[in-house]
Amino acid sequence: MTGKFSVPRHVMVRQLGDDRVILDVTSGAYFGLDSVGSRIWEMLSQRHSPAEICERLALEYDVTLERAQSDLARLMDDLKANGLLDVD
Amino acid sequence: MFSLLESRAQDAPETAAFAEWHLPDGATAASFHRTGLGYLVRFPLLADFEISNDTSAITCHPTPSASQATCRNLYMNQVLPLALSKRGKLVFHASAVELPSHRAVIFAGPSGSGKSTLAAAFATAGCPFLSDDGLVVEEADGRKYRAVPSHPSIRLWTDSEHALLGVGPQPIEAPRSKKRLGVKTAMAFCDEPRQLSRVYVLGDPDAAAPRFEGLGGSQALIELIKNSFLLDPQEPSLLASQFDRLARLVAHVPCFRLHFPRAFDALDSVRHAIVVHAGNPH
Repeated sequence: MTGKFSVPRHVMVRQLGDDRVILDVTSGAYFGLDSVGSRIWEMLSQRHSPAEICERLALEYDVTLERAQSDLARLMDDLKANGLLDVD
Repeated sequence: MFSLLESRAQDAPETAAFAEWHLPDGATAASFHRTGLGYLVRFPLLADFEISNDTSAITCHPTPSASQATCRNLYMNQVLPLALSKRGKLVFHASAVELPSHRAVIFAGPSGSGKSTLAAAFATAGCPFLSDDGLVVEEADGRKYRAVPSHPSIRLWTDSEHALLGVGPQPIEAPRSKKRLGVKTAMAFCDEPRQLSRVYVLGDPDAAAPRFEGLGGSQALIELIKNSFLLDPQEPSLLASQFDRLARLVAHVPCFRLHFPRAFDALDSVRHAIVVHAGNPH
């Protein structure tokens, strides 16, 4: 995975505890992120590269780098498919 | 201002629907269309409601086969809450009751989930109800919220009416599938706003006994979004404002999922469990 990602302007996010809820104001669709997804979202919005995010995930959640890469790829595919993440 | 006009057939609307509500069998319950002056909300085979953009004027054209009572019920239970949402109010598919603590709790859920029956069960036991659906919640003094009373009537299914009221109040209108019961002395009504202390989202109807499940912030927010009235989900500024205010509400008012048996002989124990639960510090 390469490149940076950004949050489109039509997307609103609210953090509640460890979780986040995302709202696409153009479609009215909303999505929930659990604590891990929420942490990934936080790092994406801070414009960390996918490689940096995987390293931090592996460290913070005590998982292998491969597991972190798989989880990140799956979440990012979901977010992109729903128009919640732009590729720069 | 609401006006009931002459009946007319439902001709093809000016624009395609931008949203629809569906019945459990997939049939369209309502379709939403933009017009030059605002919105058209069409209830197929029943009535067309035209809402002006500023929501100050709402007109109804019933179909030739629809009764005035049906139109009034559609207006009170569906159209008026939608209009209020367009004005920026938080309006929920929820009933509300005042507990002995003089705080309000609300029961949120779709039609048929039991919110009207719960409200009636409290009201017949001396805990006044504020609304049985289309509940408006207002922010007051920063972190506090209050439930606002609506029309002093409850719509009950016939079996609920008999179980709770026996002969009871006479029906004042006859909607399509529920009776709207005017409140006389059998059910207490609270006609002033009350501070909101708990939100209960109605859950598992097969629970053997009342059970409360705490909802985390994001779960609570999603449940309130699902149970909100919103006339125009494609108006970004209104959607964003609602999202923000709902997020603030769940941050300040404890939310739970309430699983309880939908048996009439269990209502007393359910009511008691709610009073105890709502009275405990959270």
